[in-house]
Amino acid sequence: MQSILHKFRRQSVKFNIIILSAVLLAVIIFSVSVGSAKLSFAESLKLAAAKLPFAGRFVDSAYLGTKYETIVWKVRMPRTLTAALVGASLSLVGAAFQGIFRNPLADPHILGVSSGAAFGATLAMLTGAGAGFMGLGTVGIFAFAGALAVVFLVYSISKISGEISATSMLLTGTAISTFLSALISLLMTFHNDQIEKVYMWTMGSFSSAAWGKVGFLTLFAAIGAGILLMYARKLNLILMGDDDAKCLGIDVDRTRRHIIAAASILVGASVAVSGVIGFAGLMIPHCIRLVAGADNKKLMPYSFLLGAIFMTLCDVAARTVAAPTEIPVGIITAMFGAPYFIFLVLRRRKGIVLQP
Amino acid sequence: MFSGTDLGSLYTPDIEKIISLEPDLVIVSTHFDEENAKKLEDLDIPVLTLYEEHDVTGVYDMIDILGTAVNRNAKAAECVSEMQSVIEEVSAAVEGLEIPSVYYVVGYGEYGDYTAGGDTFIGGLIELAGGNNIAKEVSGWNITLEEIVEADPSIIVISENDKEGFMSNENYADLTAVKNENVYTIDTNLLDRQGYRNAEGIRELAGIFHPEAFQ
Amino acid sequence: MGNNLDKIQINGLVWQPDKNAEPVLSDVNAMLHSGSFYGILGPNGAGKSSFVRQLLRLQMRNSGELAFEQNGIKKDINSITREQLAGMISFLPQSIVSDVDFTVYDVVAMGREPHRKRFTPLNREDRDKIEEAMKFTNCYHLKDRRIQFLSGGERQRVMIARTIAQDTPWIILDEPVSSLDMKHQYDVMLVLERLRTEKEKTIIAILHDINLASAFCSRFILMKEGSVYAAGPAKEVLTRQNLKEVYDMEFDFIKSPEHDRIYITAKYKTDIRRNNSNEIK
Repeated sequence: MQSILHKFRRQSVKFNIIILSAVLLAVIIFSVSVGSAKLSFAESLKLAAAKLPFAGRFVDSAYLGTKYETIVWKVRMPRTLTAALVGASLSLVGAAFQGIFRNPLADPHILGVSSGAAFGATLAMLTGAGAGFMGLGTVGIFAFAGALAVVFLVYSISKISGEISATSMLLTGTAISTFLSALISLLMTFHNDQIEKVYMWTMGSFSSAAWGKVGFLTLFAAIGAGILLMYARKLNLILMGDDDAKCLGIDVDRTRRHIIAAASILVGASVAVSGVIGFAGLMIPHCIRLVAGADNKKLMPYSFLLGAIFMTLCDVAARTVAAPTEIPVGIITAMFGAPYFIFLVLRRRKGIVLQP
Repeated sequence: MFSGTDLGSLYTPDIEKIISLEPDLVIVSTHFDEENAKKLEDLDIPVLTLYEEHDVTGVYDMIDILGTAVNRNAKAAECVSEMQSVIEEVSAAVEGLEIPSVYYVVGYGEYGDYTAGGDTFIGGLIELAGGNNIAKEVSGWNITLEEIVEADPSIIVISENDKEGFMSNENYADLTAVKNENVYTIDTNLLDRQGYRNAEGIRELAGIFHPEAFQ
Repeated sequence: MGNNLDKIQINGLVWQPDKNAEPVLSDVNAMLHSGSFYGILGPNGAGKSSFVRQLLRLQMRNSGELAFEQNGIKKDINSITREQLAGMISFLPQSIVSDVDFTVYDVVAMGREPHRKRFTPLNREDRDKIEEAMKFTNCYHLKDRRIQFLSGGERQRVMIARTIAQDTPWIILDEPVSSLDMKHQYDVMLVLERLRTEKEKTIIAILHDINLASAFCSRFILMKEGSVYAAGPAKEVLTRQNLKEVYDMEFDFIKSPEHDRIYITAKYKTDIRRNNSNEIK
């Protein structure tokens, strides 16, 4: 195992990205081919291939009927892509936050953005659902708005206090998060019958994925990821220390602000679409860092891809392990995450760290 | 039939209020907290717990018990026989008619898809009303979107509140029933709560499944 | 280009970060010329780090003059952009983050940041400067190692290589040798001296070891309680009287029997008085 990881580290960034992308493609195809409908693996593959530009010509799937085509293309495919995009986004944000806060325990939910989204979603659920906009249902829109509101709040409060330091933002985020959680609980006290709904939503799930949401996510993932990747090199410098970075010409405050804004919007979009899914954003960048080091020019793209792979697989597990009951995806990611973390702790103790 | 006084919520009833009203009998469902039941019993207030029934015949038994408890046996028997005749009427009317596939929406969308499985009370009502519940094989309440699309029911039954959201949700747009606007609403109180009104519920369902027979 | 820096002029500089406390720097006056190796000395709390951080605008002063002179034109430091500053002075802070997983090469390459455009990878010139910098401090053989696993001395050489790679005419170092063993201290000071003589850089270093400073530095700034107590060549600054005032200790000045050096050592209470022909009064 060690030797494979060593090889991974030695390859160029481009090569590794190609490998990871190939794995992601394979995982997506796999995900689209499994489900609770009575479709065989081969039949699902045929249906998936049928709509692709090249492969489509060689595949005859018409006999399976539109019903199954709908299942593969309108149920499984958007769901798979949503899982991949959410996984990618959360992992990328995890990497960014771990860098900007210089804390390997930072995760995408650390600034309270997710609590804002959960609160928005709760409000929407209580006032009743209706039509949507931009591919999101009312719940999604409220969730996204809640997320953005928190970003704005955290930033404004930090600005007023005079310093836009990482610590002040973290403290504000934690406070807001706790407050909103309590508020949600309060609302639940008066709306007992909605507890299950809210709980299920908060736990995170891709069951309501649709092409509209995929579009929404793709838009924000592209913008957010683009901005974050743009700042990868500067983030490296900031990791060495604020003073170091400033003396190398970096406007640390501005860079930090931009990174946090882009990352928060990315988290907001993800949570608006699929609820609060924990652990992936913490775990994936950590894994990558162990193998490839802290250089964000590698850490970020690798996290993005591995995050997509991981989340897609978790979603497959979520909907097949106990079919037809769906296990909320957040549970699956946590069940992977916790043992892994303990494993890490044990590894540290034995002093086994990857050496060049 | 009774005056409505707010006694708190399903899971956290206001015990003090209940006691202050000096009831002769408190009737509760299985959700009622054991501790609270004990408090009432300690004060010599009789508590009657009604358990969920599996099917309509169970409801008849429940009504009988209630009748005995409040000393209205005759009225209870009357209710039961009324229910029975309604259901017999419905059964006769739907006899031999083509049975449509039906999907009953308990929950949908963001929170997952939920329906009345074959072994549930509502599932039984659907069958009685002459419908073929696509979730017949399902035990409990869980179903996946894939399975719904695969079964592609001819009729969808949903509560009034949820219809708009359901119809505008992208995920269900491809279902035949949605495209042909065969999505019907029903007052879910008729089905969710076990009791006298279930007969009415069955008749309404039958009316949805077999409109020709119930003009 | 606009990178050369002839003088830095500081007049009456005050820095009081906490309005309810004493200013950290009060009435600092100094004139720094290019081409010298400045040793900044003084007890803990004298304001050495703060002074140096003002020169890098890591802190905003409250009042006084801080001007950079280039080609005869004086500019207030506040009117110089970060990028310009990064092209003129590089900085090695006192505490170095050591738990980040970067390779030595990565770290030294960071020094090229002010010269790089946004999305471009390292070009030929960058790579040459990086290699040159690492060879100058003798850490090129460490280039693929991860900085977490280096010794203190090795890490310090890497950090200095980074400042060299930044290719600025002035270099400021905050206690570059305080945590190193004697050999490494000497090596580092040699490197700094070579930077001055071979590459014409101006060096400003905060040092605790007076002898080390006197052996290598050409100019001295002695600080006490937030201001400059004395500035200039060793003869004027490192006097018995000055050192006693600033460090509140008595010092012996001993001439080396072998070469032309004077050792300055503190007098300890436990020292037994002895007739010593080497003692200089």
